[in-house]
Amino acid sequence: MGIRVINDHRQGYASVGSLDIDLARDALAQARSNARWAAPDEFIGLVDLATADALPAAELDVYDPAVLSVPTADKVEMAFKLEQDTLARDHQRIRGIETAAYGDVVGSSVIVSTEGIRVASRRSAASASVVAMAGEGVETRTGYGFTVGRSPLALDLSEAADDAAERTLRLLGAKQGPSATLPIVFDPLVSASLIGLIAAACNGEALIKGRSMFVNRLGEAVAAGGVTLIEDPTDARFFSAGARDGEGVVTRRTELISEGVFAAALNNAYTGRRSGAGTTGSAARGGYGSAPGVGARALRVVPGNRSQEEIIAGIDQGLYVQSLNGLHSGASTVSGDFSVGADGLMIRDGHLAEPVREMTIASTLQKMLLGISEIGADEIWLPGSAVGVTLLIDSMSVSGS
Amino acid sequence: MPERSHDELYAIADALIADAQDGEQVEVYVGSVSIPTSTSSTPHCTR
Repeated sequence: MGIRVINDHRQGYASVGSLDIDLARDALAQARSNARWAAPDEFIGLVDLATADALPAAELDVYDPAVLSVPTADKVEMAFKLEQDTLARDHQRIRGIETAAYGDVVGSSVIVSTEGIRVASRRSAASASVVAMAGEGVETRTGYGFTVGRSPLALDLSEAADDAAERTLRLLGAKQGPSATLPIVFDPLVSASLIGLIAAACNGEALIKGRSMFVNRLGEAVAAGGVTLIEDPTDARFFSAGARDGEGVVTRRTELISEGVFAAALNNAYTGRRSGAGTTGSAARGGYGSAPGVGARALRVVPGNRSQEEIIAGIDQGLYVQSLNGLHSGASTVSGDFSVGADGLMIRDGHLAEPVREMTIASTLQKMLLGISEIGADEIWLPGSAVGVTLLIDSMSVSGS
Repeated sequence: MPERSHDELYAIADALIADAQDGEQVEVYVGSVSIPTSTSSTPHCTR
């Protein structure tokens, strides 16, 4: 559990990895002591009930009791079946399975405060994933597939096996391609990571600290006109959906980028007070070990109308990026610099062509956002904080051989 | 293994809130997870 004490605008926090009440009281005393030595900040304070309940809370069904009622033996069997299903996709070229795994968890929590907050949540999640190894000659490549749901009954093992096989096999024979300036199509799994980066720049904590490329850009065009980025934890299709944030505030739909314009930042109670914008119900807890910060949990770019195939069909020459390497070291949400390793397939005459590897794609996040010329209709709901969707960026520098 | 009920978690949080001193704000977050099932076919193991 985590305990926050605020006295005279000084905040102390302490945590304990136990539900023992004596240890909890020790943690409370520690939090109180920590507050005594903390620097005062006029904006520090717990959220009040009127603010927390300013909107009606969404009623979300994010718990499936089947996650606990399905016998463990059946779950083990799912991992074995996923392994065999993936091998069966191509007995000749899929040489082995690095791992086939099943996992699930049920989480339950409550938040109670002296300001009248009293909220509870419960959620379940189950997933199965497989990493296939495929090869021809001396070459071996790996690729993964996964399936997620609220319980094991919601998992689609066949889809995971198909994805792992396709993503592995289509990169066999990849070589480094030529350097060029090309339109880039991002696979939905890749774009989900990019969307997460953009949301990090919309984080109220980062903006207050000056650690965002969007500092002082509220109301300005930061993306192509067709781009609307939404944070909406009230949408139950997100695996991270929830009616309340990490401080007990009602969550809500927030347009971060509205038709290309930076429209709003994500805030918790503290950053909302300090910025004057108010909380957006975006307090995020990384666990019980630290006080809530600010974070996105349910990001979605409003999709377009065309499939990935239709988007690719309109490109004479380009690069389809299936995976990125070194995204977090090669992309800065502060400066916007972007230089990241990529594997994927060339696009020639409207079709996916030969596989390429060890390419470097470079631009700035600012230019990439303004260069989004098409968004696919192919939304993929992932276990992370963002929905994946095909993205076409009109031009990026590609370095290869 | 089932996670703790909300009533159990509330009982712990309420006990701490009752200990709050005059003039101080206290917030208690109590979370509990089931022991996760994690299975992998290679190597063959379950926990």
